[in-house]
Amino acid sequence: MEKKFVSVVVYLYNDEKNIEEFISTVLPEVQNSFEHYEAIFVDDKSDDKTIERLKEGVSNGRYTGMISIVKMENYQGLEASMNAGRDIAIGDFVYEFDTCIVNYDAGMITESFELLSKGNDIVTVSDSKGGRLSSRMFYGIFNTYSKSHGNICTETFRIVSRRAINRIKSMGDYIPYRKAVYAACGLNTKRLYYTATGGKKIKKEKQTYERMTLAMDSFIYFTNFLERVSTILSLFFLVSTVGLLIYALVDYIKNKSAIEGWTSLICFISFGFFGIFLLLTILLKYMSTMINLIFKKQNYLVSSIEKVGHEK
Amino acid sequence: MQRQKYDRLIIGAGIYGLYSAIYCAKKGYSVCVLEKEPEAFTRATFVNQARVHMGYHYPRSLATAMKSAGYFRRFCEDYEYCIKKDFNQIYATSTNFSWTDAKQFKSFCEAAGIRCEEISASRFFKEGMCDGAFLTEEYTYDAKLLRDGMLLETGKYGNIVLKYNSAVTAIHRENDSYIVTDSSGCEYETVFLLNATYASVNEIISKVNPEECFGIKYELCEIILCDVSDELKATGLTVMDGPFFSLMPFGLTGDHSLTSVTFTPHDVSYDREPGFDCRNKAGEYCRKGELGNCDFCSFKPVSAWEYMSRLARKYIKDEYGFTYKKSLFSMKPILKSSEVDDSRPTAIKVHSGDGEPNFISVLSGKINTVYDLDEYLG
Repeated sequence: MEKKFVSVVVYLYNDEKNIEEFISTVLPEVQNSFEHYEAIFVDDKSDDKTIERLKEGVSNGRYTGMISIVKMENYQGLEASMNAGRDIAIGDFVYEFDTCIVNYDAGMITESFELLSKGNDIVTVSDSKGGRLSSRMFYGIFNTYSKSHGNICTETFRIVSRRAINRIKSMGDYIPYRKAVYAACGLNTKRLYYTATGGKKIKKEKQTYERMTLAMDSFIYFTNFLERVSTILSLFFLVSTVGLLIYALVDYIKNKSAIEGWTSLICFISFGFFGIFLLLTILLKYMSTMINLIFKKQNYLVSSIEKVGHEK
Repeated sequence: MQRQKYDRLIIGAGIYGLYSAIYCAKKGYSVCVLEKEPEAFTRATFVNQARVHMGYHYPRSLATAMKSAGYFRRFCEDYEYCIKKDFNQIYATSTNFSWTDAKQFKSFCEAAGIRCEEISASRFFKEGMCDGAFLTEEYTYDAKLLRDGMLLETGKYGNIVLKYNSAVTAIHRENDSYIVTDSSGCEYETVFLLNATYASVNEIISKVNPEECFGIKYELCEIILCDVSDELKATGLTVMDGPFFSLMPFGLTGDHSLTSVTFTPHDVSYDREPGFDCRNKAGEYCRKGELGNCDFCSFKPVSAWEYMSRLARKYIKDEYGFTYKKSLFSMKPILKSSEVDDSRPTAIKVHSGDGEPNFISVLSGKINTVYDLDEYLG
C-alpha cells in the first residue's frame, strides 16, 4: 500500500444511474491502494436523484476516506466545476474523473499511479476507441496549432501531481480548459489506453453547446489557429487593395481612358481600405493580448461544501 | 446528609464558572462551584485555539467584531499574566473558496477599527494561494496559567467553595429554591443557579425543565498541537474565510495549535443533547445526561492530522516546518442561529420568571465575552 494521500475529484451531473457503480468500483480500489484518501464529488446542480444516490452509496461505513460534496450554485459545466473540485483537494496527488461512468477495469487507477511515480507529473487514461469524429477533428486541429508540445485527446480520467497543480496555478488564475493547461505546463505527461468493457460509451448530454463554446475559446486561448487565419485574411485584403491602387495608377498613366475622376476615386478608396485593414491587423494583435488579461479571475460559484463521510 | 445552602450555585469550573464565582464573591455572596472533573479547565476552556478574539474572525458580522474588539482590551488587561503577545498574527484571505477577499477584509477591519497592515502574501504562502495577507493584533492565552491565576484568586475569598468530582445528577424546585443533588449524594440549596457547562448546557437545563433548550449544533472537535520550525515560532497564520485552517501559538506553551474548519469537527449532531455513536461505546463514562470529557475518553476519533497537515501544507511554504505532537479533543456547541453570518454571540438564557428562584444558562464560543455575564450576576 502506498503511503501517499490522494484526492479523488469527480464530476457529477444527473448521474443517478452511474454514481453507485462508481462508488463501489473506484473507492474500494483507491482505499486498497493508498493509506489515506479523500473523495470530492462536485455536483453541477443535478436535477435528478444523484445526491441521494451518492449519500446512500457512501452511508454503509465501508469507506475510510473523507467524502465530501461540493455543490455548485448553478449549472456551470465540466471545466468550472472540476476547477472548483481541484482547488479544494488537499492530496499529494489528485485524480480527476470527468465522468463517473465506469467502462474500464478498476486496476487502471492503480496502474496510472504507478506510471506517475516513474517520474511523470500527469498521467491521462483514455478509451482507445473513444471520442466522436467531431472530437477527433477538434483535437487534430488543436494539436497541430497548439503553442505547447503536449498533445491532447478524449480522456476518461487523469492523475496529476501536486507539483503539476502548483505549476498551472503559477501560469495564471484562470483555467478555461484543464487538459490544454496540463499539456502546456511543460511537465512530463504520459497516456494510458484501455479497451472499453461492458460496451458502455461515455456520453455527454447537455454539454454540446458548452463544449463547442469551449472548443472555440480553447482555439483562441491555446492555439494561434484563429490568429493566423485572421492575419492571413487581413494580409490578403491588404495586398489586394495595394494591387488595386497600383492597377488604377498604371491604367491612368497608360491609356488615360478612364472616366473623369475614376482614378482619384479608386485611389482614395484603396488608400482608405488599406488603412482599415492595417488597423484591423493591429486590432487583432491587441485583442489576442487582451484575452490574457481578461482571463485572469477564476470564475466559478460554489453554494456549499458538505461532508458526508469520514474516517472514524 | 445535611443540605448545604449557598447564595450562588455555579455548575462548571471553566472560565465562565470561575469568573462568575469571583464576581459574586466580591459582592459578598456565598458561592459554590460544582465541577464534574477532578480539576478546573479540563474541557473547552483548555481545548480550543486559545485565541483572544479581536474580531478578525467575523468579517461577515460587524457587530460581533466590534464587540470582540472592545472586550479584547479589557481581557488582556485583567489577565495579562496568561497572555502571549510577542508574536505576529497573520491573517490571509484564500484566493479560492473564500467568502471574503483581501479588499473586503481590509475594509471590514477599517470599519471595525482594528489593526490590519498588508504584507506580502508570498512571504508565508505558496504562489497563487492567498490574494492578501495582513499583520494583525491578536493574542493567545494560556489556559493552564489562567486557571492557576483564577484559582489563586478564588482562594482569597473565604466565601467560595470549589467542589470537584461532582457531577450534577438531579435538580428540583422546593418552595423558593433549587435543590441540586450531585454524584456524591450531597445536596445544595440555592436561590440562584448558574449553568456554565458549555457543551452540557442542555443536559443541565433538561434536569430542571425538559421543555427548554438552546438550539445547538454539536461538533466533536480536534485541536492538534504541533512543534514548529524556528521561523514560525513567533508567527501565527490564519487563512480565511471558508474551509481553511489556522496554525498559531498555543498560549505560552511553546506549541502551536493546528485547526481547520473542515477537519477539526469530526462528527456533527443536531440533537438536543450531543448524540454521537462514540457515546454508546463509551457507556457509563459518557452516559445520557452526563457528557464525558472527550479528551480523556478512550473512544475518541482517529486524528485528522493527515488531512489538516496537508491542507496547511498546500498553503504554507515548504521552508516553514510543523510536526505532530499531540491531539486534544472536546465537544463544541454552536448556536444554530449563528451559522449564516458566522457570528458567535454570547447567549444567556434566564429560565426563571418573576418571583421564582433564578436559573440562568450561559453559552458562549469565546472566552473574552465573559463580561457579558456581569449584568445577570447581580
